[in-house]
Amino acid sequence: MAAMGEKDLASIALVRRLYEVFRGPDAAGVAELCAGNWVSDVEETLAVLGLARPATWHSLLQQLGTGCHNREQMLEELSVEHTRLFVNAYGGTPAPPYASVYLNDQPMLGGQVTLQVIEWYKRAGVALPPDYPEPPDYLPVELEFVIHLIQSIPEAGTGQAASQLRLVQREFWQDHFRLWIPQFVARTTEESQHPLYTASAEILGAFVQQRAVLV
Amino acid sequence: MELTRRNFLKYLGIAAAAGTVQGKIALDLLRPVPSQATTESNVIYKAGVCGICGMNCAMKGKVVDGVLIKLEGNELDQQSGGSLCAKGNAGINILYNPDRLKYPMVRTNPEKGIGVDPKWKRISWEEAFDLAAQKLSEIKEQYGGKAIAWFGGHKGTDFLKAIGSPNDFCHHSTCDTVREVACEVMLGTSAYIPDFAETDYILSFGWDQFGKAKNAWARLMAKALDRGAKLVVFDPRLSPTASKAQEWYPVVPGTDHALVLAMLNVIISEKLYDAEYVAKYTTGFDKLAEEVRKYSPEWAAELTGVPAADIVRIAREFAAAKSAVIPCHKREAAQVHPNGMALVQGMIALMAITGNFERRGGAMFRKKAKLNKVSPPEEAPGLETTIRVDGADRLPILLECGHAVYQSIADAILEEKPYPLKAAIIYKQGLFSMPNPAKFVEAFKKLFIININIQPDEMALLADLVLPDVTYMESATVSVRKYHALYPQIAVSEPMVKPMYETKSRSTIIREIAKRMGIDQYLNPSGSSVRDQQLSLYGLTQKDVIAQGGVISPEGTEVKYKDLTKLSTPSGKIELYATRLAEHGYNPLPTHRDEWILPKPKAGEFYLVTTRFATHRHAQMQNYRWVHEIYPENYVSINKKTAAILGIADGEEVIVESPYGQIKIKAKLTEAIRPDTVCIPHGYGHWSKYLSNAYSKGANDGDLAPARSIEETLEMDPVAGSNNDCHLLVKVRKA
Ligand code: SF4
Repeated sequence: MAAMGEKDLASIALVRRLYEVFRGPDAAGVAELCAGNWVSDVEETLAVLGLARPATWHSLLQQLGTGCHNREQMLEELSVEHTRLFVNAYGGTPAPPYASVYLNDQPMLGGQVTLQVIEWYKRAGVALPPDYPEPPDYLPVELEFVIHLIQSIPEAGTGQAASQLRLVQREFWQDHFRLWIPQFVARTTEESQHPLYTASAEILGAFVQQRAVLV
Repeated sequence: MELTRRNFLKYLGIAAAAGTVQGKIALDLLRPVPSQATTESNVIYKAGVCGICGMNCAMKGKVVDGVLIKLEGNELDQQSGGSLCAKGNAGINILYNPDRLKYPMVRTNPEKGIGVDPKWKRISWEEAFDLAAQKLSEIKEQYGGKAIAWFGGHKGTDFLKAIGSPNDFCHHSTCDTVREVACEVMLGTSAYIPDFAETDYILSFGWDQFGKAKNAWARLMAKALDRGAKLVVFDPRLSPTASKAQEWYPVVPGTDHALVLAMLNVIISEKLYDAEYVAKYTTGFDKLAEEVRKYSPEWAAELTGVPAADIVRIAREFAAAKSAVIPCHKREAAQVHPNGMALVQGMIALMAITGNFERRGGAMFRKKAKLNKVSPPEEAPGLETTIRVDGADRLPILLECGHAVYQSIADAILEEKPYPLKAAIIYKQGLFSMPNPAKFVEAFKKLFIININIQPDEMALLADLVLPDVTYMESATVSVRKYHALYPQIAVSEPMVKPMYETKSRSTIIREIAKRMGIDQYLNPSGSSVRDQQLSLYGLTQKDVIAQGGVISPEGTEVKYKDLTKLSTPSGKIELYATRLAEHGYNPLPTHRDEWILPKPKAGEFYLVTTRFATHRHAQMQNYRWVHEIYPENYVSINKKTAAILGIADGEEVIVESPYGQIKIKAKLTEAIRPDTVCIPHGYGHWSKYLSNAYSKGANDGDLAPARSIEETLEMDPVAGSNNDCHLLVKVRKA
């Protein structure tokens, strides 16, 4: 059984940290931000992966420096901005975090795109719990799938199972993930009024661009 | 750096050894399942009921791997007959629209108004329920339960009873109360069904079924025309229905009632009525005959612009037809003009004296299936007062029919008369269902509003707390066929897909709030076991009905006739002279009130008629992609000749102004409308920027409508309380 190397682990850690941001803020998340753990993990993983810190990194650090004096207010600001960017916004939700909205013929959820995602999950041996309320093409779910693929491919070794997983990974990335994430990132960075979301989207974009050529 | 010294490993909770790591980090969401090499999809069909309009067509949903792919009609259902209308087909758009409300949200911007961003913040359901219960409890404590209103049909009546409030509001006084009240007092039921399958003659007073395309009726009427049935349409514009008619008369708006009276006059004076039927099944014929004697065809011709000879001929044809029907639904010639109640009374009388009730091809009573009743575990303590904010307690028959005076609510809130209202729960009622919405916006600024909604429309924007509702594709129902029940049927729906995001059903939401207020014991029980209990009348469960195809006909599919001497009217018969009206001091006969005919428009002035597109239900569908593409925006139809005089070009923007407001809208020039009339399709002009397709497209005709006070309503329509939206003249000029 092959094991994961440093880059795989850094990728997993980075994607997990991004997952926390896009899933939406809570008190625990703000605590992580203010304790500096989120920032140091992201900086370290970017360094391991050879990715530059995003342009907005400095303003994020500044914002955290001042914002962490009033964590309740920071949570409120992050919540309002997360709702505006990704849930419902005046003027149209800038960046709905659902792949189907970008890839279906019309900007709607469901449809062929969602079915395709479900199929990849099935072939890769994962599924959402029946009571999970979000659709399968929700960004946080797809980020978990990225993690799942990174860690299960080396585990699967060299046999047929491994090549099946590699095929799923290639299809998922080439036909899907690398196609919609740049659009999502562009919309988020354009609209975001909080450096946490701008920076996270920029990092996600850079990560996807780098990894898309590897898988 | 050595991998083992990487900090992020701590975060991942993984220990590294010798530069590599074995093992996996746990995932929050995705769970391992046996992987499948094949890509076979799991296709199932689920039983459903369309929830877009009141017809509630039974349908089937094709679900692949938990994703709803297509909706189809259920051929067992007499209403859907195996097909869905355009709106029904577009239902998937409601489910999968990215603009949809997904989580409970609270506004963070205290300022409210047209064009104001509420700056929503997502909150948890616990927080939402606590906030709702706390606010409502405080208001109840300080001002009494009566200070809390429910907007949205009778789905909240039990909750209101539990808090002691009489303020149960629905929109029907802007819609169909005249039909309902007239039917109740004359027939003892709220509506009748046109039996198009067998009819020979259809008379329409602005009734535009091809325009609104209600599934069963549009389909069956098309078949009737194929069979050679005659269709005569009176409508100021060449509606889609009029375009299919053998005869179309562009009647003067608001005068249809005169036509009906003159036809009654002809049929009675020429003794063309069915004397035996009249004697057996009706009461008050002599009084009716006496009343209509004064309404000559010439008098009607003068008012309506329809030649007297045609009125006489059509009356004779109608009486001679083997079967004939005058359909009446909502907001046609009736309801929007003050003689509307009498118009429906006259229509019923015409069909009754020609023997067309409970005759195949005529007007049928609805044969609604029964269900076991469910009631709350405990009887609620009773209302604090019977005096209502909308004043409906002053319209006893309307109130008995279960309706409110919708239009008067805005004034009542603003003036705090008869007492102040402080909070409202608003369910499935858009701001655009309210006449003169600007006035309602001002009124709503004074209230704490909880909005249970599917899409972020204007009402959601005015709310303090927005609670996301499930769609009919994510929930279960037991539905008795109401609209087109020639024989009793029951349709059962099951959730086609699980509720998306964090949406919850209205009943769950209300129960959670009520629990926190300590009043949930007074609510009607709900849920799957209750639906099974309803069906146990037939010894069936929901599962059984679904196994039988989703629709059952508990008494077979044969059309059985109702005994017309055993109706729910005081006499048991069809009351041509409505004694219930007389008892309440109202005019029991369809007398014409000349004072309520609009003055003839002067140059630059127009009558206003409204309509809606077949693909949109009221103001609810404009944001849904498939139907949005068909009719993205509305326009005002103006006669070409009049437009030339006013110098208005096709597609040019114009200002339409009424005594109550004005709108800017594109002109569409046509020959298919009276030169003195303009027509605007309803449902557009959305100003919620959260609706990405519908925002800023077209204009809202409702901005031109009055929101009449209770006093004004009582003067105009003391019986059915209708708003008479189109009883006005508008001015049109270049923008
Ligand atoms: S008529 Fe159309 S919108 Fe109404 S219930 Fe039937 S399919 Fe749905």
